[in-house]
Formats: sequence, structure tokens, C-alpha cells
Amino acid sequence: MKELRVLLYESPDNPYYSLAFEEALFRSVRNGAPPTLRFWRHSNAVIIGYFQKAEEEVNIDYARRMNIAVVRRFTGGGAVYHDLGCLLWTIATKGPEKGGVSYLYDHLLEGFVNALRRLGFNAYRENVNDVVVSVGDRAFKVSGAAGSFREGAYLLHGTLLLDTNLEVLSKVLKVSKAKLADKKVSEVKYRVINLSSLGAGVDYSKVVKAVVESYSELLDSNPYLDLPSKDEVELARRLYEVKYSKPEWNLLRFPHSYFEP
Amino acid sequence: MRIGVYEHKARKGLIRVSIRIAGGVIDDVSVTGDFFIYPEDSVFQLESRLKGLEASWEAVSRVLDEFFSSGLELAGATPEDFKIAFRKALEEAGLVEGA
Repeated sequence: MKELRVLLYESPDNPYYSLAFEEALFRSVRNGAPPTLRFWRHSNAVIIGYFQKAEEEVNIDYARRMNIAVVRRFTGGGAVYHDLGCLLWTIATKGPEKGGVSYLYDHLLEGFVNALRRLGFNAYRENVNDVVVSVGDRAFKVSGAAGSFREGAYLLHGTLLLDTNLEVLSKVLKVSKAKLADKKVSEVKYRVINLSSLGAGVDYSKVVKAVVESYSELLDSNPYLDLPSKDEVELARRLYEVKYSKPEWNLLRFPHSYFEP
Repeated sequence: MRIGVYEHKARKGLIRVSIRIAGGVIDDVSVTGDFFIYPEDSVFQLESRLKGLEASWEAVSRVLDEFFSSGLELAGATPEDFKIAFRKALEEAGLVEGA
């Protein structure tokens, strides 16, 4: 039977390195590392998407005042706020050569949704990459995901709001005028909520267990706990040095080629 | 110099086009937002293809058509969403009659 490598590998006070490691993990799996499921957290950080500019998404003065780090990730999508009450998860694996967007947001994201179902929630995917939990006739967003794929390798990472400070979240992230004005056909709006306020007894370790079980099932493999390889750590350190520690990467919007010519 | 900025909301994601025009030519352009496009770096290729181009909707839409017929994948947005954002940004810069 195939194996699923599980990493509990985090650097909560250095989100720049965490995000560098994400890119290193994607490259590593592309180069033949086994399918990997990573769990991680940040103490106090805003992570913006590859196509975003910090000043357009983040209340920079508030972030400075609150000592919130602003870091860009290598995947697209929107800005998110992380504190220790937000569980971050990543699944990186080889997949079908032409699986594309559908393999990411239909197949791989379903693994995470199934984990929430294992915990007894009525969870489902919405608006491509949102994960929503319904309670009675109301639905709440508890998670968002973003991913990338290249040469048949896939990486999908996402959040799970367990017990995050939602007041800080709403103050540090800007909402665009176009999104506020958008009352038409498009995206359905959900209030964000902490999962812990919906279900008694949901905590970090129960969620991790459910996510491990769910991805083991989805990828038909046996989970085992592991550490990052020496090569992965070396690559992550190099990416941290040349790119993820740089304000030009985090705050502006330059392509990878600017940092690794 | 003229500047046009437009934010278009796709089914999933916001597409924000900022365009700067000098002497009838696109002098600077950026596409930012929380959309998804694969491969990701195609966005930067699109921007460099547009820089130095004649600032007209005809020229821009030709480049966009070519760009989106090159096997890109989007999630929650369509090529039409990007075209709307570009056309409206040019309109904001006073370059296109009411779109």
C-alpha cells in the first residue's frame, strides 16, 4: 500500500520561513518525494496571494501596530489572517498529468471537506475554494484553500478557523468596493466563523486526526509521521534568503524570476 | 499621462487592472487580485506583452484573445471577466467610448 507522509512542521513566529517551506515542499514532491500532508500554524500573520499587492489587501498601519507579519505565498487567491487559533494544512502529491484545476479544487479539496464530515459537520465546498459548514438553515465559512500544479504535481493548502481572533481578522484585511457592491449572481457570501463555536469538543488534535484519516482514504495510503528531509530544509532556507525574507516579494508583486533569475 | 484602474468581480475572485498610458502607448500595466490562473506566471507574461502596446481596445483585446487561447486554466473566472476589467480600465483612462 502507498504511504502518506505526515509532517507536523511549523515555525509560528517566522511565517516567512513557513511559506518558503511550502514552496520547497511543492518542488520536493515534484522531484519525487512521497505524498505529504503538513500541519502548521502562525502566531500573527497575514498571508496574501501571489497576484496581490499588500497595500491593496492589508491595513498596513494596523498590521504594523499589531505586529502582524505580511507574507506572500506562491499560490493565487485571497488574503487570510492567521493566529494560533487557525490550523493550516497542506496536501502535496503527484496526480494525473492533466488533472488541472479540477483535481485541485474538486478532488483534493474534497479530502479536507470529508475530514470535517468525519467530525460530524455538514460541510461542503462552495465558490471553488471555500469550505462551508451549515447549521440548520444557516451556513458559515470556516476554511479557504489555494493551490498550484505543475508537471503532474499538486499542492493544495488551506486554513481552518478553530479559535481565531475574528476581530483582528476583520480589522487587518481590506474588503474591496467591488466585492461590497457585488450583490448579483456571483459569489455567495458567508459569515466566517470559528469551528470551535459550532461543535463541542472540536480541538486541534481531533481535527488533525480527522484530516490524516481523510487524506489517507482519499489517496488510498497509510500515514506515517516524518520530518522534512535535509534537502527540503536546505531548499526552504535558500528560498527564505533569496525571496521570502524580502519586502519586494512580500509587499509588492514581483514574479519568481525576479528573485531566482 | 492617463491612469485607469478598474476592479471587476468574477464569480470567484476580484480582477483589478491598473493601466498607465503615456503618448498613446501602454506605459505600465498590472493585474492584481485574488483570482486563480494556471500557470501562475502567465500573468506576468501578459503584462510584458501589453507594455509598449498601442493604447486601444482593439490592440489590447487582440493580445487578450491570443493569451487566453494558449491553454491557460482559470478557476471561478472566465476570459470574458478579464476582458471586462481591461476594457473598463481603458475606459477609466478615457481611451474607450462607454463600454
